[in-house]
Amino acid sequence: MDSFLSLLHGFETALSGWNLLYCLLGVTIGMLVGILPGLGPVAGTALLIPVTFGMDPVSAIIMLAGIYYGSMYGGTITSVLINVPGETASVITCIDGHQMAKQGRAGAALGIAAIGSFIGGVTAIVCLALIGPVLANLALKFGPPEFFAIMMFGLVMLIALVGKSVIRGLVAAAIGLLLSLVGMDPITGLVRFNFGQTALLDGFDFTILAIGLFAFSEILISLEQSIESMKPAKIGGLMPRRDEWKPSFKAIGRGTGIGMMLGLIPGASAIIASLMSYTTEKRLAKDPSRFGKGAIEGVAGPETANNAHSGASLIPLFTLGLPTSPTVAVILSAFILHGLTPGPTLFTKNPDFTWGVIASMFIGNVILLIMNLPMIRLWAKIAAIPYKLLYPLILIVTLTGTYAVNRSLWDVAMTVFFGIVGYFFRKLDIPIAAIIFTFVLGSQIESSFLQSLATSQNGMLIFFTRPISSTILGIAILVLLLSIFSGIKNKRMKIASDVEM
Amino acid sequence: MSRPIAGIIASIAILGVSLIFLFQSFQYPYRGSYGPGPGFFPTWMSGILLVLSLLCLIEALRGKNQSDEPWPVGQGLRSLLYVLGCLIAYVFLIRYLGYIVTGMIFLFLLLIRHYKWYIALIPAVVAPLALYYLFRNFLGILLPEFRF
Repeated sequence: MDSFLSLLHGFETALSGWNLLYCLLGVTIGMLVGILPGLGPVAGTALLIPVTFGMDPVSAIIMLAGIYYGSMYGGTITSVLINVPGETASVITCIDGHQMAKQGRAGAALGIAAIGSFIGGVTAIVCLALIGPVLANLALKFGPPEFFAIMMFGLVMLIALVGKSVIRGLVAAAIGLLLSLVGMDPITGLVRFNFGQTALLDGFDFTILAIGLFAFSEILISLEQSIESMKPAKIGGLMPRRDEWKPSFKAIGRGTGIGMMLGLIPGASAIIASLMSYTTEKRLAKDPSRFGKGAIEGVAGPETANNAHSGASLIPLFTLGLPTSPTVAVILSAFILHGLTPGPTLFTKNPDFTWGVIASMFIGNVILLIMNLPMIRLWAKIAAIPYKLLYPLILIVTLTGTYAVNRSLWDVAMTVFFGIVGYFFRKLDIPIAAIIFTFVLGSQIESSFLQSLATSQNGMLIFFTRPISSTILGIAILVLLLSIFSGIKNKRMKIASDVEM
Repeated sequence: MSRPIAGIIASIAILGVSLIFLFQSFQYPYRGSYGPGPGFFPTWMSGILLVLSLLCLIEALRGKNQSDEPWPVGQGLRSLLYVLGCLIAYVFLIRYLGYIVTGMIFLFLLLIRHYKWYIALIPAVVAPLALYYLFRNFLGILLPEFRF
């Protein structure tokens, strides 16, 4: 009851003129940041911290938090329209979202994504408000072994991305991991696999890899068809079909749960939440073969999950001062800059602040929903531009953008290179989403693994002697075995039914 | 099963890559001061990739689980190679001719395949200019200049 009253008081703060403006500014910038590949929420938030120096702490955090969850809304747009993930977690949305766009259903994809994001975001905030402190204590028990266990769990989720051949799926995962190792080792500073190129000192850029492997390969594959005959897919309605609402909402519900759970866990980034939601939807669907070809649950679930994740990941920040992801770490630095100490006392010592921010997150999500839904018409129109004009424009814009990321022509060359690689991989049924996924997680996997072993007294056993990590690893192994088992069962059933014919 | 040749070539290529990475990994210290060093993970990952690519090769040789994706021929292939050529030309020319000129040439070459030349000129000229000014004035990023 107390919390409720404080929340109402918080709304008072959040709805005050300036704060409302900052919220609007934050979420708008967040959306732009999400739309622009190459500018992620980490950079966007960091760039704007100096702007907040003169501001009230409440206003500052309202704006920065707005950028954070706003970017989750924006990332969807380019993922659906041009198969380029605007920020890492949107990679999963590319898979079915872009397929839907190609079928003229970009509106439906963006619409359900906006709705799901809203539901996921708001639910996570409600939980933050009500049971935040209680849940957050669990996060304290997480150390490197637990992070590694979560990563392993995430890797098991990759099964949903695998096509015909499990081996090729694993090859993709291994390639992604290997690519992530290029550059400076985070622990010792040793530069690895740069083969003498100074441009590779920092390793490969996510944007370059994503644009090359996803967008360029997509364009190259489309070129095989006669472009003249490619009629722009009719914008088939801006909302999902009647029979799609129910499965979408189920996916949204599950996505919210998954996103929130993983948001609380330090080290589990949004991309894991998205992937886990995708995997879950694919497993639970009546007809899993629809996935990868434009299944709306493949958009609804992951999009909800990543918004729920971003909301939930602020819980450990508020209650423990524990940042669960790079963007949240930047927000933490903003806290400190403004003289606030996040932690258990934040709720009691600065109730105005905390509840003000929480209320503003509600408002921010509403603003985003209002901004996004009408804009879908606009985005869908863009998707309907004749492909023969669209693809050169996409190419020049992305070629420009990839240069701008690091002002490096090497990056542009790399994008083209990975475009070719991506093309071949897609032809060979090697899942590129798996490559990106392990690439994103690669350095974290290695550092958590090495840190665990460095502190362990009994070598690799540490993962199994600690209660939380062993539980997570146990679940991961269980899921793995179940998948293998059901895979074999399916094959047997197929063979049996073939024989019966 | 569908032609496994592509699968075989790809597996061998990946095998090669894994070997290169593996030999590189040996250059990095396997053990660090407190546990595994920077060479540990790369060695194991390249090793795993090596084994996986071998399995992939075997799978391809057996013709199991191969990709059904058709390879482009004829018009489609020409289309593809043309655009690819334009992309590679862009990458090479941009450091000499600068962004605006190269961008215009690039777009023009892509657009004349489908539009008459006088129509193709419009986006070909406008887009690079627009992007150049957009990036310069709003993002403060200077795109490569004409360098002669």
